[in-house]
Amino acid sequence: MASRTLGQRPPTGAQVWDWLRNGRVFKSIFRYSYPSDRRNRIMTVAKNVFLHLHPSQVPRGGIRVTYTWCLGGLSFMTFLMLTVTGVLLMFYYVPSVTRAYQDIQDLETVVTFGMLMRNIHRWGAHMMVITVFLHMCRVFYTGSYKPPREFNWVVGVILLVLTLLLSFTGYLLPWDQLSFWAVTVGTTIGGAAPIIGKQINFLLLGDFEIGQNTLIRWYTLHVIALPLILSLFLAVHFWRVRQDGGISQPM
Amino acid sequence: MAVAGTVNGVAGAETRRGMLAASGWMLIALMGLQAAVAFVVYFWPRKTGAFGSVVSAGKVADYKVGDIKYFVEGKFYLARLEEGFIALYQKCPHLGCVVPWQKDYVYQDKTGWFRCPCHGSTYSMQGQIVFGPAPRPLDYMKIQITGGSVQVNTGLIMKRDEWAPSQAVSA
Repeated sequence: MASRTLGQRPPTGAQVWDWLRNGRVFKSIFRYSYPSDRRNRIMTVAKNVFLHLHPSQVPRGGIRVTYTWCLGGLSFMTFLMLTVTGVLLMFYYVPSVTRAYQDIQDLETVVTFGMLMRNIHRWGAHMMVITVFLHMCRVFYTGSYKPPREFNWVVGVILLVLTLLLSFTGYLLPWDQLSFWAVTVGTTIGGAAPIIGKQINFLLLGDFEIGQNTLIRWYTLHVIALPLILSLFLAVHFWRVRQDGGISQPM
Repeated sequence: MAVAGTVNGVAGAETRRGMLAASGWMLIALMGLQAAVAFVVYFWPRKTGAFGSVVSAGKVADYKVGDIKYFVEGKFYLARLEEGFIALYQKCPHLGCVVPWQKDYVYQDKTGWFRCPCHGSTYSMQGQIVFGPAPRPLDYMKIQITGGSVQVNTGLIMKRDEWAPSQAVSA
């Protein structure tokens, strides 16, 4: 094609497609042919970084909607949604006691689509807690926690705790009366721990009482530390599903 | 019992190589421990707000008997009584409102009372409840006087059933 001389007919669409599809660049990215046969279908899934999380073949019973209710997937999708909307909110929110409350008001009233993003984040957070809880119910009622999957149940419990921690750290950020007192009560409960209660309370608040130190602590936990740890355990969780013989199936 | 070729269950530890390897691992474990301790220490806040820590409330000589000074950040009133100093926590023991000092309020022929705006609990300069629904006098904080300066520990708040001169710290 590069050697096409003047006066030749321009290439047809099919020719261009063929040139792209069999070109060096395309071949360097996708090392299999079009997924029209069994082998290439498996290769498509197995050789793609995003698709390989999912097995190339799953048992028919395991994908029945009334068996899984898609609850694990829903939890994961909600987490992705929360990450995206959370990053968007970070462009307008400043974790300072003098600005935080006003920034949320501005997100609601001034920022274009700000109210939408905030509400997706807020309702998504509620939804994630609900779907994670229901996912655990499903796993329990289908007996999917039984050997060889008992370790993945433990990973799941860790993920539940991380979900609740994310939910609670995010609760402080609007810096309104509800956040302020919820965290005051929550950290006071932590302070009731025997022997080191006072120290735990001090570390959680970063001060003797709730204030700027608390806000920046919980913000950093909410936007960086906890999502990273959760992602790590998510990877282990998904990997373990495959290691333990794929998704469990109805008896 | 010791298994041949092991020390404390570590295989080969009785050889020179084993001893060196064990020491190496112990050093690594020590560094890990150090990092863990440093992690906690890093998050231990040193610059905090006034309330909860020890607040410097000025010199003894700055006060004369009958003076009351309010410390907003420390959330207390420092009162200079005949018996000495008392630091009164601002929070009403009834339902938690901030109790203001009303220097012109007259009650029982005396002028100057702490009076809660929420339900009218009225306290003397010593913090003693004289009227209203509050169950006990105003709580007070620990005071230490060193070198003529008054230090109030706002983290040590004490309850009392009634005012007693022993609660004041003499100058």
